[in-house]
Amino acid sequence: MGPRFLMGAALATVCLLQAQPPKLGDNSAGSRGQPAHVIPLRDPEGDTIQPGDRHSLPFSVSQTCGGECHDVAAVSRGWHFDAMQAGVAAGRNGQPWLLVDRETATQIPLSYRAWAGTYRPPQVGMSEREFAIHFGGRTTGGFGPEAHDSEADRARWLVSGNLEVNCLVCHDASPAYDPAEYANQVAKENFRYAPAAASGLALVTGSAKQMPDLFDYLLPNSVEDSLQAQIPKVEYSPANFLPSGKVAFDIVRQAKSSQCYYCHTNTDVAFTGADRFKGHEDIHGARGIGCNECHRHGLDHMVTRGYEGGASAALTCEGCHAEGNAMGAPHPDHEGIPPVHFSRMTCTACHSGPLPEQITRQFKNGMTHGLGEFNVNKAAGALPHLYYPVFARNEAGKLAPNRLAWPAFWGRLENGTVKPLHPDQVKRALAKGKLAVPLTVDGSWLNVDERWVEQVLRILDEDGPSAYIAGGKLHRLYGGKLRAEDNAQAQPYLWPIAHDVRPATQSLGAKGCQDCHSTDAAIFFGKVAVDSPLASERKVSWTMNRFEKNLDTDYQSRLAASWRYRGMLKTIGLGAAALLLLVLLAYAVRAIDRLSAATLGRSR
Amino acid sequence: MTYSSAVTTVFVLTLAIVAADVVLRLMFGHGRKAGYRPSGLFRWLRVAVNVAGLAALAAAAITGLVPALGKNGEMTGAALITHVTMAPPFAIVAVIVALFWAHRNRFTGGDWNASYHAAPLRKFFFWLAVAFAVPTLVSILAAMFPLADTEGQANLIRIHRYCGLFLAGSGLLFAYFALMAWWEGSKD
Repeated sequence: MGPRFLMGAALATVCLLQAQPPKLGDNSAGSRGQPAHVIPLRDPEGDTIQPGDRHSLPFSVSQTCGGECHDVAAVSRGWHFDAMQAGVAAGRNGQPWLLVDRETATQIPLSYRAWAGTYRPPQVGMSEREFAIHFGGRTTGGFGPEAHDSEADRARWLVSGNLEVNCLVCHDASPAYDPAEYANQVAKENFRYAPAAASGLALVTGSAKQMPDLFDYLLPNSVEDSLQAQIPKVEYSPANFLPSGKVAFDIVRQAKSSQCYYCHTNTDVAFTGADRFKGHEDIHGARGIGCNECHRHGLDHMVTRGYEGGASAALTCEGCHAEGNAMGAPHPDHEGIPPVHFSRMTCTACHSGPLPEQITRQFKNGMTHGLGEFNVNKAAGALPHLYYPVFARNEAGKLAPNRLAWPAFWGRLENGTVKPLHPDQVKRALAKGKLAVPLTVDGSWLNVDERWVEQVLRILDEDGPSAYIAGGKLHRLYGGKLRAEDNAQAQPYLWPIAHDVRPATQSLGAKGCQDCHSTDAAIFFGKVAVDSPLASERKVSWTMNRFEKNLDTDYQSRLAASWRYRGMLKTIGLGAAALLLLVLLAYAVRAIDRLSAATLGRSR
Repeated sequence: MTYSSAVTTVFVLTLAIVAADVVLRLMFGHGRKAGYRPSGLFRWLRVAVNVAGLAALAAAAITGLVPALGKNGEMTGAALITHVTMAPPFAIVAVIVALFWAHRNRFTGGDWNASYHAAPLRKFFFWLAVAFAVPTLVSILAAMFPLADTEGQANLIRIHRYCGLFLAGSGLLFAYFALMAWWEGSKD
């Protein structure tokens, strides 16, 4: 009985019991004060945890938060939790998960949402459990056994426990809450212990990953002696308990931006390390506007994503900055900008992300690079390699800046499509052909070439026609020789840039029309770096307008070239208008004079 | 009324006025007379100015109005480039035409005594064209400066489009009546 079944049951219950009053904590009286969260800790069975318990159990967030006060089932249908749920609209492309395996030169965008260009984890042979181990430390939880799980996975879920919805990720504002510790515990497969460890209320030791399949967390000492030291254990600090046996959480209704940033940081590679101070901040953040001021939600936790055509028009750029808006946000006059710009470009085109340059920049992301986690690779070249800004047309046909990831993966050719192979399958091929290559020190791609790809494909082809996608090309063997060809699946995955937002003075066009209307304007003619494990493919680049469908580049070039005559056009036009006005006035004056004379019966 | 239907209406009205004039000319028996012809260099200069004026007006009007009749009614691409390229020559020629014709197009008492009022119509359309030329130029040039906000920009472009349309209509009618006056050998 998996979480989806439970979720469905919870849904049905919610529907049936609509008349039931909301839970205590979900029915605000309207106070703007922060309610105190002095509450008992509850274990997965719902029993209260006391500081003096002989065999302490980790507290369960769903029991502690959801027992009496909050409808966790309703929360669990929110944006941060619903990717795996059936019938949920995918919405606009967003940040994918990136499965990186350096040994096999793999970098593949994953998502449970139907975002074109990403793959569902099962498509690469990745179970939900494996996904939870890989990426769960950066999620808000919501993973557990499913009906379709393998026997092995089912056994392991019992060992690790569920990675249940973790309210504390966003709502625990205590300085003791440590998201890096949460990720650390998830990596050790201490799923049921992770929230307790991260909360700072308890010390968690051991690793469920080391435990045998028959391990029972309620009878932890039943494992062999050599594993005793690795048994997951939780130890609460009595100092954290109040005389009532309850604990005081520093829970905030609205998550602090720094909590969002733990996962949603996007930072330019050039502004990491010692050069961090050179980076910029979103203008809203700089003005003290937190993420949740715009990305609002109710109990359902359906966070407003804030894009045009999304769920809430009032909380888009246009919504907040409309004339006479309720927020008091400045309304831009956009003086002198022809209105055609607003029908063909998004607000973000001029105001978000870095200004376009002659070649795209590289950035790192909290979710994909583990920023803030223990022992994170801080090298600039660490995989995955992500690029921005790339200007492309969105669903509405408007030009918008995007982030980009180049897929690199091995796959089987079936019915004209490439079905990605799990890196473990490729590793077996590498072992078979003794083709393993030493990893690079900086965490970047392997030092490999076409010959290596050819050799690996030769081994993979033994089990069926195979291909390697990288650098925007599909590589396959024809008559034993490697050939690279264009393929839709080799296209890079793009997702729109929303932040950081730049104010008018730093926007594209602030220096003049020629920010875009010059013959080498980066927005149309800049280069998009091509990323691939193959050095030869990294030497080439794509021109930006390759992503800007239906763009008349010839027109843009000619328009840009004509800009040098713009001053002349203005001078001649205004001069001509002045002369025509003079002619008009001269004869109008004469006509008035004649009219006046006519009233006296005289003709002039 | 959409801009494309406005373009069609003005074009049909222009043709209707020309057709009505042809009918009235036939009714009142106007024909070609051996009339006044200026001679020498001045004559050729006038001809050159008139031809250039008509050509510039036609080029600006065609590049400006034909895209309006297209699928989305937007001017972009080659049409926009051509239209903008035609703008300075048109502005220069418009001033010269205005200077060459302004004196001859003064309204006089004699305008109302003739049996058929072709001359005052020509004068009327001339002054109408000059009057529309000014906002046509000023509106689009103002849009090139950081003066108007988005709505103001849209209004300036609207002013340019409609004034340009009426300029084209009145300019063509002026050209027609001027041509007829020349054909009739009118001294005026």
